This record gives sequence, C-alpha cells and structure tokens, in this order.
Amino acid sequence: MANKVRVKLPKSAKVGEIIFIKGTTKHPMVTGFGKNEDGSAQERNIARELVVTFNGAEILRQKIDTGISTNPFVNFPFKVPGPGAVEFTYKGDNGFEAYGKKDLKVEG
Amino acid sequence: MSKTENKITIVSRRSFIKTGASAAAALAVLGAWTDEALASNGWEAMVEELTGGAETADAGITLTMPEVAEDGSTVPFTVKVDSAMTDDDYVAEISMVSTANHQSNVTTFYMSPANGVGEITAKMRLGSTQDVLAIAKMSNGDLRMAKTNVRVTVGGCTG
Repeated sequence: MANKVRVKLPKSAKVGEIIFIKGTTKHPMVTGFGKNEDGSAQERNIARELVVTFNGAEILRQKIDTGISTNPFVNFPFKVPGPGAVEFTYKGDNGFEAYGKKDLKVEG
Repeated sequence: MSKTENKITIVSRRSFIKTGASAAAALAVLGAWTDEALASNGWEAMVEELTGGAETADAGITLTMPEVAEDGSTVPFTVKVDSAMTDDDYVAEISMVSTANHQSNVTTFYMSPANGVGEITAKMRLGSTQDVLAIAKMSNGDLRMAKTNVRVTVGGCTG
C-alpha cells in the first residue's frame, strides 16, 4: 500500500483517559460533478470509507461521500483501555487504499 | 428509480443508485438536479432516509461550524452529542447533511462506547451559503438533529 495515513496520538495516556486521535490522508476527492480542463465530464474519484481499529477491534468507521474535503481528516475521541496499535485504513474509488499505524503508549 | 404513473416520487440519490439504473439515466437525473439545485438537492429525502421519518430532538446535540467560511472547499465541523457512552446507551451514528451541495449526504460516522464521548470533528465542502444538518442516532434508536447556517464567500467547488 503506497498511500499513507498520518496518525496523531498523544505521546502517552492513562488507562481510562479519553484521548483524541487524528488521522489524515492525501486524496484529491474529485466529486465528478465538474468538468475536466478539456471540457470532458469528470469521473468521480473519492475515498469511500475509513475504518480505524485498536488492537484489531473497530473503534470508528466513516462512510464518505463527495461533500468531504480534499485530503480527508478526522479527529475523534477514544477511551484508553491500555496500550495498543491504532490502525487507519481508507478505501476508495479506483482501488484507492491508504494505511497508517501508530502505537499508543500507556503510563504506569 | 421507481416507476409510478401520474405521480411524482421522491427518490434519494442513494436509493436511486442502488437500483442500478443505467449511466445514461443517471446523467439525465443529474442534469435535472442541476436545474433544480436552487430549489432542493434532495436533502429532505436524505433526512427522511436517515431518520426513517421519525421525530428528532434538538436537545443534547451541538453542531459547531464557522459562521462565515471564506473558503467553502474545506470547512471544519464539530458535532458533540451528550451521552454516557455506556454499553446500553451510546451514540451509534452521526451523519452530516448539506442542504445546498450537489449531493446532500456528506458523511456518516459509526461510533461505539469505546469512544468514551460522543464527539467528532472533520472537514466538509460547502458549495454555497447554506444550512448544514447533523443527525445523531442513539443506540436505543432515539434521534437528535442540530442545524447551523454557514455563509460561504467562495464556493467549495461542487461537493
């Protein structure tokens, strides 16, 4: 998977604390409603779905349509159950796939 | 599109596409939408689809967006839904609906007690000045809706 998701986590967290997780990926999000420079009809090319997992279990899913901006971004809460791996996967038109992983460290 | 005689049926874009109509027919409908864009982008039908026609409460949910967006191509939004986020009482879905973009359905987030609080921030496109709706579906099926108006100085292309 060539495309990356940038994942941002706090440097460390406590068990039971609610943290915010940010993720973004590069994507043009072409709506398909406009025209190309040569006047031909644009083809839709958007990210369609985001799935975020923690140690393999889903913690957020997003269905994406054309109204989401270029380079999709999300910031969402997560109640820390312990240390683990946060993984983002975006999928979209034309076989688009982007992946990013970051480890959540827990104090004490 | 469902066929009815002497009767106008409102068909949302999503259900329309689900019927697997031909591309030609789809283009014809898209053309019609452009003409009707000033009237409606079908957001009423989208709200109907998301809520199942049930009543929505306006308490316990806030939608925060800038009052004025200079650039409609990327407008941040934050939805906060009051919820204990326990196993039997949590925010299950948060959906965003545009009342003036080409496509009324913007996005839906699926959440769970693992999130701890019912809150989400992301960025959306606004083609023009409009009302934006946030609809939350609770785990017990209750619905909440918030609305805010955003004035757009430069349209965000054709979201």
